[in-house]
Amino acid sequence: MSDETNTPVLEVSDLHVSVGGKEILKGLNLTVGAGETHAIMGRNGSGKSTLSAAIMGNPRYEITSGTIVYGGQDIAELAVHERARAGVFLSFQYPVALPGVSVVNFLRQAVRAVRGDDVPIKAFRPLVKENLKILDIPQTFMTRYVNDGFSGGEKKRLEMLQMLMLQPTLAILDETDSGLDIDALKVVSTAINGLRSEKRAQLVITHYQRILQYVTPDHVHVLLDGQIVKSGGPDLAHELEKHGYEWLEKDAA
Amino acid sequence: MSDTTVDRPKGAAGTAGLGDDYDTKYGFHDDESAYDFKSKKGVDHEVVEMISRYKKEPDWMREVRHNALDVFLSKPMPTWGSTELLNSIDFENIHYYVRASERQAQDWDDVPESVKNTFEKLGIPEAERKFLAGVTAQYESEVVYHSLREDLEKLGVIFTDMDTGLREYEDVVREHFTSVIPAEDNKFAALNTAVWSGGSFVYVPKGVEVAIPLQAYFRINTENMGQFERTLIIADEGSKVHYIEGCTAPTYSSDSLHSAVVELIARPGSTIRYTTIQNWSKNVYNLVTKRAIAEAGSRVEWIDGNLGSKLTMKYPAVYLVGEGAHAEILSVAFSSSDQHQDAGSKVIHAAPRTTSVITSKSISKDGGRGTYRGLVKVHEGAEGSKVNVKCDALLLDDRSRSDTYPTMEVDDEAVSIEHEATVSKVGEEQLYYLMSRGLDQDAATTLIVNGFIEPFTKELPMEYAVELNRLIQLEMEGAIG
Amino acid sequence: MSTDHMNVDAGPETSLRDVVTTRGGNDPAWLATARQDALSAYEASSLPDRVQHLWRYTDPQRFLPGERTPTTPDSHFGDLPADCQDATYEHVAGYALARDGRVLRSALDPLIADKKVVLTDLCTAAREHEDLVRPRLFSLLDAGGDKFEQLSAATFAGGTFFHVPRNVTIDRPFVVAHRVGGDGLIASRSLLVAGEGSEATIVFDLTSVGDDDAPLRHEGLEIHVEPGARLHVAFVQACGKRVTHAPVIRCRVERDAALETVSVALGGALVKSLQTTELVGKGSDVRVLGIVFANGRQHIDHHTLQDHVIGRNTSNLDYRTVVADRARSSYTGNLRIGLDGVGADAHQSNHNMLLSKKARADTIPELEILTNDVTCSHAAACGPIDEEMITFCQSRGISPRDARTLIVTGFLEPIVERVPGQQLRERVRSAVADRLDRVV
Repeated sequence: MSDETNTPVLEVSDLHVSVGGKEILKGLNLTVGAGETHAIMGRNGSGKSTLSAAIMGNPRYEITSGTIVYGGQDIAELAVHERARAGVFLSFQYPVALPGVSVVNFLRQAVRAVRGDDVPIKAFRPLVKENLKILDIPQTFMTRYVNDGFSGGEKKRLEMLQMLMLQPTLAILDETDSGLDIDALKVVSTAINGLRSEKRAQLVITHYQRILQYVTPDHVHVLLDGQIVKSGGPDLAHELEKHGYEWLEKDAA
Repeated sequence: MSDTTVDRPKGAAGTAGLGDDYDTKYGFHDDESAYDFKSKKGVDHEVVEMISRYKKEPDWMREVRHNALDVFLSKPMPTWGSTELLNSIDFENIHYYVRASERQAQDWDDVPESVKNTFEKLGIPEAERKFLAGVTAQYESEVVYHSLREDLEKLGVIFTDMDTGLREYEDVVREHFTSVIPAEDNKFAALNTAVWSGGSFVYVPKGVEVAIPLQAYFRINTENMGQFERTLIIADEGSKVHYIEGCTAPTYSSDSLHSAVVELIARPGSTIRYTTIQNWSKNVYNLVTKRAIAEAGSRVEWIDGNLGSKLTMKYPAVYLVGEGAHAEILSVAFSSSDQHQDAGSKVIHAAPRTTSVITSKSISKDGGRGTYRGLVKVHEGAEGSKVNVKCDALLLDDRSRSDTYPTMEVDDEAVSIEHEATVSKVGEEQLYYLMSRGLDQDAATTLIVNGFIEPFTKELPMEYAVELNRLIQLEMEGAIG
Repeated sequence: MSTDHMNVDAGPETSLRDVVTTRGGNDPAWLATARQDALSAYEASSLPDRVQHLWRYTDPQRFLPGERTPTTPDSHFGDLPADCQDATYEHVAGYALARDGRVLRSALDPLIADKKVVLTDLCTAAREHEDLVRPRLFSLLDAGGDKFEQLSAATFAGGTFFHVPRNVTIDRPFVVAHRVGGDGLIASRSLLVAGEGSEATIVFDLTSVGDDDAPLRHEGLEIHVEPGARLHVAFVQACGKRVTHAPVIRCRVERDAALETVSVALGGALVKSLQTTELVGKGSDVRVLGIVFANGRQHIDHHTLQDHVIGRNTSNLDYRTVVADRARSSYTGNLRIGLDGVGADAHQSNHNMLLSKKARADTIPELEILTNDVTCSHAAACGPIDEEMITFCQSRGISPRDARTLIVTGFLEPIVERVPGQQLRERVRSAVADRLDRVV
């Protein structure tokens, strides 16, 4: 990131991605600049989660052509953990349970890995406490096992806690709003908004317009059958809410 | 099988020739400078006689030893477990008794420097002593350091090495020695009974709760030297005690044998927890017999971690003989290349409303083999008993192996037995999730493995939990990918 | 009476050899030789070691012929089971009637006979279908294995040969009704072959002539499920309470093939059953189902093995046991994934219900896993009928006795309903009900 003001945080060009031999993304283009929040909307199966998996580097997803440039660097060859250390964060749609691994231990290891040095326990504790408060998470959370027996809402809050602890340059929020009641949604939105800054960027992937009432995007894109078929401002989200996706499908056809 | 000619006198008749000139004839002082005394290699009545006389034991103990030796010599090798490895043990090429220092040190300053150095390397922190009840460190066969906090002494708790126990509490030892595990039980129990040395003797009086764990460390440090410690713990009515035994040993070039016997007696309403972490060097045969008698309303917990050794065969047992007694057996086995951990558990329900919970976790990597072998038997009349067995195995690569051999025998209708086992590998999704948080593959795998054994780790005192996680981390480093 | 079990072959040895020679006299030369070889192997092998856990609960000596001589099969079957009276083949595709180890008669729906399906006695088949029988017969025998398997291979009076040719699909079951009597040694061998891409169902309905008949039955079965074939086999054993029964069933399932076996064990004084299933190809699916319902002093010992030699396939085992009175059940199940078993998905479950204080159940569900990319589990449980379930039924006006019957029936039903052939299934249900009537 030599020139932070001009280099986009993320630049996806003509991206084709297959999973299990089936092509899901079919030439996707997307540029996210520093300080921007983008929303990617689309139905189930349109390729939203595939996009987030490809950016994070999930080995099950194969990039058949195109590039993903992050901070001016093609990250195709970077392993998942290297992308994380470079500042990419993915809030999982379905967070994975890690039985026996306590939240506190997990967070410490993640923070240590991403920051590259150990955070003294003295500094770590207040940081966690502060973030717990933002997310309205009880202290007892810390000794539970990661996502093990968590409710849907608890899982999403833990994802947000990790995001706040890791302070990513690019945060991808994959359907973070799904399964949340309105109170939880507000809390999660506060966390997302709190992270907005001139240097960071966010990609909010969602099926519904609901979360966008709390997290106002700079740009909205509609994903249909592996391609972005329409882009616009925040109004596009309202339009989708009113008319659904059908009119776009007709257009595309 | 051996190039040594072994004289095999039978029983008392066989020992008759070992007369009063024994001391002068065979001598007790070996020239190997660091060791005050070392028996010749191999085991026969001569060696047994020598050990017993050197220790100035009462006649009955000497008899017990000789009789046990006959049992050992006559019993065939087990035909199960790792028969190939078992049959490769060269009993004639082992020293059965080595004494490392002349006398028992009363405080840490008296412990020989060389012994201290070994402990230093193994990272037993000095600070530990501050909160430990007492440290009984067994350097090779003999206890060299022993201290016991005064308040425990005031409560009447006896925590001493077995040799001292035999000298000072002969009646108690005589009554209970081999009462839980007779020499006839199995070949290795017989061998231990014949040549035992060291180990702990613990007696906790009625109603006394020992708040802090009693600890002992065992080391094997002489090539080809067997270690045959013998531990007897008696928890009297309503008492409570936690005993911890940790083993780590440096690596040697030829094989060693460790064959301990641990007998626990839990009187009505008492609780005994016995925690072991063994990390013998990978040339050690670790063949241990551990058994508890649990009387009415008592609770016996075996917390058993197996990391080291070439072959471990160990099945901590609880005989639930009193109504409402409870057994808890929680074990972890970590098998790496050229290791076979054949571990498990045995619970006998012989009284009504007895309960047991068995949890086994096994991890195999680099071609290691982990075997769970268990027996649960519910006798007729043990109505209302409940058994829960859970065995999980994690295989870290495609060359490693996991076996599960649980046996359940149920002789009464009104009981409930549940058994579950799974075998799996580290989940791809878990790895991906952890790596997306910046952990590399080794760190992610280590974390998952540590999570897998967390039900075990959380039962350990903090310093052991840390040590265990560190050992796993060392094992995992560079091993993946 | 002096049955010296330790040296049991001393007396009847000559008669066994004579019988093998006589029975082999009607066989093609290759089979007569195979019988002699099997007898030699039988005589040379020692009894299974009781220390070995598969025989921990059952004394192998009780399966030696001792003074018993091989029974000459009766040539009368007696009353036909309902399934075998279906002259229009509405519910069955064909049937065979067997007595004392030999198939007396078989009949097929003419439309099915046209498809070259074979259902006949094994000895007949050895003569008439050498091309089908010879390459497969005894090919699944464990060479170093079971002594008693060699005994049935040497002395078998006959047995079932069933062959479904390539790509032939049959929608109705075949029924083999087998009745045994007397108190001699009854040995039989069966060979079932589902050719590539075929689909068929066959049920074995095993009974004894009278309640006092006390034969010793050694039965060997080999089942080949060739690539892409689907075979469903049921064994319903409802012999009298004096029969000693020792089936050894060897199955081999090739790529993309499916095998489901359902075993119902109700009869016999002493039963020792061994069933092994080798999965030797990808994409195959194996289901091993079984129920044991024992009362009185019955002793039923089952052993199963699912051996994933090759991976990327699935196997599921579900054995349910009910023991009453002083009966005893022992179950040992082994689930093995070999070095090339990557991707195997294998599960095993054994549940035991004890209905009386003197009843006994042993269960040993084993796993031997030699590679890591697998999904394997086993579960076992033993216990009485759940008191809460009885209380719940009572709260709905059902008497405790009826509740017990209901609960046990419900426990067994998921397996019973997998028994093909409506008539046979109903007979199993009523046998279960009769027995429940006596023990609950």
